[in-house]
Amino acid sequence: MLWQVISMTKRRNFLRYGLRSAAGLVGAGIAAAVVGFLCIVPLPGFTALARSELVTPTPTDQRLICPGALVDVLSLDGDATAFGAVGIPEYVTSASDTAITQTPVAAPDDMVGDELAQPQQLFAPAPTTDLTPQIAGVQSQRAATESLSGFATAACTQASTDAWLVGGSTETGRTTLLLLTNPTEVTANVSLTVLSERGWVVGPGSSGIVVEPGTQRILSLAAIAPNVNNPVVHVTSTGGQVVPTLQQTVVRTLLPDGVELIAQGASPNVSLVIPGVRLSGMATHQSSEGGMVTSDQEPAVRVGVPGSQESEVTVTAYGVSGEPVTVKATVAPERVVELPFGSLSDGIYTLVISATEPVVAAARTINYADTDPFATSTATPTPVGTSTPRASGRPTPTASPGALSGDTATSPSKAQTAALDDVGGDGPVSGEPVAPGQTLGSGGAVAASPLVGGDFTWNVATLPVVGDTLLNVSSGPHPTLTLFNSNETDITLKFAQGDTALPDVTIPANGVRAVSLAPGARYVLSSEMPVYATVSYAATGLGASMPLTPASPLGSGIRVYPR
Amino acid sequence: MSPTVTAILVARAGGEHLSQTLDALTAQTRRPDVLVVVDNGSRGSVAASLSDAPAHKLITMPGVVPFGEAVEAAARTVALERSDDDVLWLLGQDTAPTPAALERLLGALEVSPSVAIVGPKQMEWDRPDYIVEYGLSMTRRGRAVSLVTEELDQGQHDTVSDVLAVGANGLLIREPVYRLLGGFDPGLPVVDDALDLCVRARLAGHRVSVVPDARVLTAGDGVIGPVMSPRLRARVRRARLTRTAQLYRGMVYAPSFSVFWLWWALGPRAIFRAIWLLLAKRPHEVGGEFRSALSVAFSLPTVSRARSQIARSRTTGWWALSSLRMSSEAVRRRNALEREQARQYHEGARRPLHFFTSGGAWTTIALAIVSLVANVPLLGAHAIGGGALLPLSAKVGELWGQTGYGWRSLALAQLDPADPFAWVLAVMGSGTWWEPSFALVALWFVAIPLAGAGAWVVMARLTDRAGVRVFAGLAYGLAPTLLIALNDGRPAAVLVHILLPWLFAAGLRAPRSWSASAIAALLFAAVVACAPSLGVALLIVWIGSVVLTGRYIGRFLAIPIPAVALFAPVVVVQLFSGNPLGMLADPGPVVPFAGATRWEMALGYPTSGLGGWLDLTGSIDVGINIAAGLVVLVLVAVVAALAVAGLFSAHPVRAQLALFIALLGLASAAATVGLRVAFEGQTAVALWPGAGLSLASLGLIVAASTGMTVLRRFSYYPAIAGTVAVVLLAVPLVGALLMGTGKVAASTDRTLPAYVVATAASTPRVGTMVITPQPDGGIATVLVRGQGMTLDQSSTLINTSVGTGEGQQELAHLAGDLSSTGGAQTEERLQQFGIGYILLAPAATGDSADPSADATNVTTRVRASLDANPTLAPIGETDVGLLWSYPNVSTAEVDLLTPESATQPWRTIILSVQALVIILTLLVAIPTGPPRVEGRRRQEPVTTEDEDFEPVDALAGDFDDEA
Repeated sequence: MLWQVISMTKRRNFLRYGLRSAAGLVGAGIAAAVVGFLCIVPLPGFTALARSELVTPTPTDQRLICPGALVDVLSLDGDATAFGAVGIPEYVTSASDTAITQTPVAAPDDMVGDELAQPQQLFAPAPTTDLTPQIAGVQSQRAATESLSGFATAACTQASTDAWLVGGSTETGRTTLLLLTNPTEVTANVSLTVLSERGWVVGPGSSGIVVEPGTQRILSLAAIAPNVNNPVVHVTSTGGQVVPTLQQTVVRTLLPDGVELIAQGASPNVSLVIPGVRLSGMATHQSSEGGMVTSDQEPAVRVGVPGSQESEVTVTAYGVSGEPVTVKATVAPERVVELPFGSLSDGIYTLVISATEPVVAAARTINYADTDPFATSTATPTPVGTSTPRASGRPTPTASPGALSGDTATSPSKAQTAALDDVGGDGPVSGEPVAPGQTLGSGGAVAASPLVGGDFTWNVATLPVVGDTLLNVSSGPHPTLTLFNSNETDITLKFAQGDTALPDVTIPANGVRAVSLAPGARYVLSSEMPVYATVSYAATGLGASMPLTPASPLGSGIRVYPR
Repeated sequence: MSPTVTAILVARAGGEHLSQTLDALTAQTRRPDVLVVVDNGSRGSVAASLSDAPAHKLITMPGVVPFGEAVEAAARTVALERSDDDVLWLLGQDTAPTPAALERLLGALEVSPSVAIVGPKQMEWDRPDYIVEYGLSMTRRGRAVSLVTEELDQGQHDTVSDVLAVGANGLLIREPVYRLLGGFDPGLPVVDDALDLCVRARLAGHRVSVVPDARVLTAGDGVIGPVMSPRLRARVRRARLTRTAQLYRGMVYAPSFSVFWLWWALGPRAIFRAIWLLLAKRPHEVGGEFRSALSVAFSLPTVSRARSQIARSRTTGWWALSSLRMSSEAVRRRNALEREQARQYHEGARRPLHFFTSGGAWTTIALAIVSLVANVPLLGAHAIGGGALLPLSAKVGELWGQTGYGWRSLALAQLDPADPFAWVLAVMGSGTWWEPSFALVALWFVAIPLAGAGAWVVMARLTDRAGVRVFAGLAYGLAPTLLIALNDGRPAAVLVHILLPWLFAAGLRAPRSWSASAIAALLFAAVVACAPSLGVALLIVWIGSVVLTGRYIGRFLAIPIPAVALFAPVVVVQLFSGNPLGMLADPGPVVPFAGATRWEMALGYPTSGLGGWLDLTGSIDVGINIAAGLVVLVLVAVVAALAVAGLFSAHPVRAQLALFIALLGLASAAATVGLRVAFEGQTAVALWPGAGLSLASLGLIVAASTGMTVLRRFSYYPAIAGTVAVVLLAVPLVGALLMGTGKVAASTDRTLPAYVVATAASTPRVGTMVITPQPDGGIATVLVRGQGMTLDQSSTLINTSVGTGEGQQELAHLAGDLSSTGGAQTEERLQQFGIGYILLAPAATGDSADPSADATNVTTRVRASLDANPTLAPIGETDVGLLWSYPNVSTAEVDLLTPESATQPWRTIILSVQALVIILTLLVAIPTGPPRVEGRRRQEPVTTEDEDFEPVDALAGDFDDEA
């Protein structure tokens, strides 16, 4: 009896624990499975899309600043210096859907001060319709004085608060002036920092530069950064905004050897594009040895690294035809170096600079006084379709000082042909890619002694333009528009001159196209895709370039996420 | 001469009760002379049962009529042959008299001529030795009381004879008196009809007495008096009828001058009594209270008829009754007895927690010390900031003003309901009314001990092993998800973690107490208000409880009601705006965070880096990181292993449920972190997964605590192991709090530059447009009024909205124009919106550490545009960004944008409904002792004979005597 009870209890206990263990095992298994499932299997998620408004700012007054006539440094009694305008530039302006008012801007630092030599403000009032009007202008000047000689152009640009100017030099014989123009209604407080081959240069008076509304200040860069070979100037302003421009002149053994107005280029970036780099006389004038640029009489790419990390820089030169040529270099942090072009042959190139850390860059080309850039047949403009060289292809620059061409009502010089001619289509380009680490400057011995009377050109890094863009051409020598397409598809660019549509220009994917323009003409480009463009001028001993820049981002649409 | 006895038997249905009653009549030693059976709407079943009954008359009523009316109908038929000696004996179908009943009753009438009404002892049908009722009385205030209820008849009441009234069951009344009194009052159809009849008989100078030897069995079928079923519906109806009868009698018996005032007072009395009923935990009677008041208010003709009937028959004054009424002392004594009985009933399973003797106090104190040390950097702070912490509004009134519905503060002009979180903040801020923002500082200090104490209490409801309780308290108080929420400045998540164990503690008691149920309801609402995304998991737990509870389902069903009332407006708006997932958004400002990977989440960490165990800067060797990760894995595995051991313990069901809740919490965390519905500028930010992990921690800790009991009295060892594991896990996070390396720091209670605050002091409505550059090169813009953003102003509806309303468009265009050249045309709008300041905040970084290049560019752009704007004056760099002012600002036009009148009527409706629900729940929640046991049969304790059956009640504790 007792035994039976015990056995029953035992059996019950056995059953109970068995059941409990089984349930426990199942439970543990399920728990492990669920945790595993949650760890491994992606669960469906949901990401809401933030509401936003693309606000196209109410169009306002537009103001463009042309920097004005070239400025000479006047020696006063003692050590004091002053500035005086030299000559009067030619202005070519155009506008769509509005009218331009051109007014001089006060330049108290200019002791000479002719009204037309002062900086010019192109003004278009805020539109009353939905149309977004555009205005554009370019100034150009050919100088031939005791201290200034050469050809310089500058686009009339919008003011900004932050600009990088790559170019100039404050060595002996080089004069670099900084022109700061404030078109706004607010006083601008400008600070300058100069990056050089020696690092950041902190000079006296580099901050707290006050530019009153509607005036231009002229400063000598040598006062801030003396004896600098390769300066890069970073201009920042608070309060009002300014248009900064560098003017560099070179005097060699008392004779002037070129002048250039240097506009602001693209801000530090890991990818930069410099179109319209025209190399000439490469075969006869190469002079660098060992990959270093030792003279500013030699074409070079000036690259500055403003950051604190060294940057691996790759410069790729795209010619109009032929394979692109690549060179690589390492640039130390907070330094500026000049890289030579080396074995590239004459022609028109677009430089694409990619870097591991943000860089600024510009290219200097030399217009030798003894070299005609169009002397070789390969560099001669080849007309599209009719392969007849244009008769008026090489006019002497008709400097027409004071001839204001701002009236948009008058049609552009009808004498010019409406056709756009391809330039340098089949020029033999050194197809040999340069091995990494090698520089372009592996060239030969000094070919010719430098001759005084030449000119040089600074080609700045540009930002791409898209949509309708006004393009004005000065009556400079051989205006050539270099276009670069960084996209993976071909771009068809529409050209119009006045109301006349010109044949489309197709730019191949990742390719360059150069077309010659008519001096003094006004064009409208339209592109659905972003395209880089620069107009360059060249002749024997003369040269200049003017980038096409997009409208200031301050007026562009902005995405707003309101709450 | 022997009187003629006319027995009037009212039956509603044939059947066993009626047959037994008829048999009992046949067995009477003195049979009634006439038997009149009233078929009160039985549709023939009565007639069928009458086939073998003694000689009788059958009267068939057309439908169901009140007992009084049925008696009256029968009495009229016998009136033709009446004599002064006639008596009427009132019986129901379920009124079976004992054989000598009539004889004894008649005897009592005969010996004392002054007695007009006699009543028998009413015994329980099933238990004939229990007295149901033996004489009635009234309190001084008119409430009917039965002199004896549910007592074993041991002759203890047999000395009583004169009573105020007797029940209608087996009532014997002299027929002439019945005539004189005009029968039963039609105004008292069910309850108190006999009481009223007896009172009128007394007033007419007659006596009423009980006869101890005469007994009738009553079953409470509802033929006489209400149905005496223990079911809730019957109880509710009984309570209502009793109350109606009491109010009615009050009107009838009152002196004539006070009738009018009594009538007026019906409404207010109903309201006050409803509140009292809630406090007394009898919420089911509230509806009946109002119905009673209404029905009495509309029965004035009946009242006046009854009053004139009394006036006609009355011969003595009311003073004659006073000695028979129950004295207030006796009433008190009875109430005290009742309470005692109720307490005994309710506290059968209740155990004291032994907070002080079983580690609760020590756990809390230990955690409080940890909290104090960890929060040393915050000592002396008046407000804290960082993460999702913002100050609260400066005045308590403003805090409460944010609740309900109104113009949202951080938008130009948006009318929306408030987040339920606003209620939580208002309550919190009122606690430190002199400086509401200090409530958040206090929260940071009490969070760890309060959470730990909560978990301790939960475990104390389940086990009496001190070590296990202490483990639960420490583990939950130091849970990584709480410490990370404290480090990252997530006030809502901290609140969730604190409240969750208290919610479960209240939920565990909810089946036994209305008070606990209401507390659970309030905590449920608070938890869901703090973490709407946790609502889904909690609703699953709630549904599970409802399904498992069974008997006390009512107390569980009501739990989500306050949460529903608080959330309904937000839910409706979100549904109509086509953004249903938006209702899950966390309240408070939207702050991005580096979310944890799934496996980190499974280890209990809502953000990446395993709570400081991993080094994310990359400056330490990878191997060390892997080792640290393994350490965390092992420590968590200790707790997880204990939890799994719980499945094999003596309480596998509890462990299963706890593990289920843990997995539910984990799943909730994993699912919510994938929902990116709230925006910080352009960035859609994921929901905070910490709330789900709080639930998971609680479940895991309860399961692990259950696992510890496997070793019975040696459960100290696993408890120590588990405690060591959780303490080690917490070390880096507590260290981070102590070092102040988290996001939280003492701050001022202002979020805008002092310049703006100073202006806002004189111009409270001055607007500040805050522009934040975004990673994609856009800008986010918010319009802040007054002294700056506060926690209570933030709204999930604003944070999650995906549509662009008119206000947003206007704001966007203003911001866009201000960020572009030539902002001169913005002056008019700055004036219109009353914007006096523009703040360019540091660029948002999105998910990365540094602002993108686009964000930097747009910062430059906005700064340039604002600088160049001639109507703005630059003020310069402040600690929260660059500031510009618009000096000509006036806020005159601001009130036109947000007129107060537009908030009505919705503000009043939403606020009053929410306030009503909360107040009613609060009334029920206030513990006022156990409710009275009413209408519930006493039950013998049921003992399970077969101990092999696990009690399925998972909430039952594992209390054993050996401890």
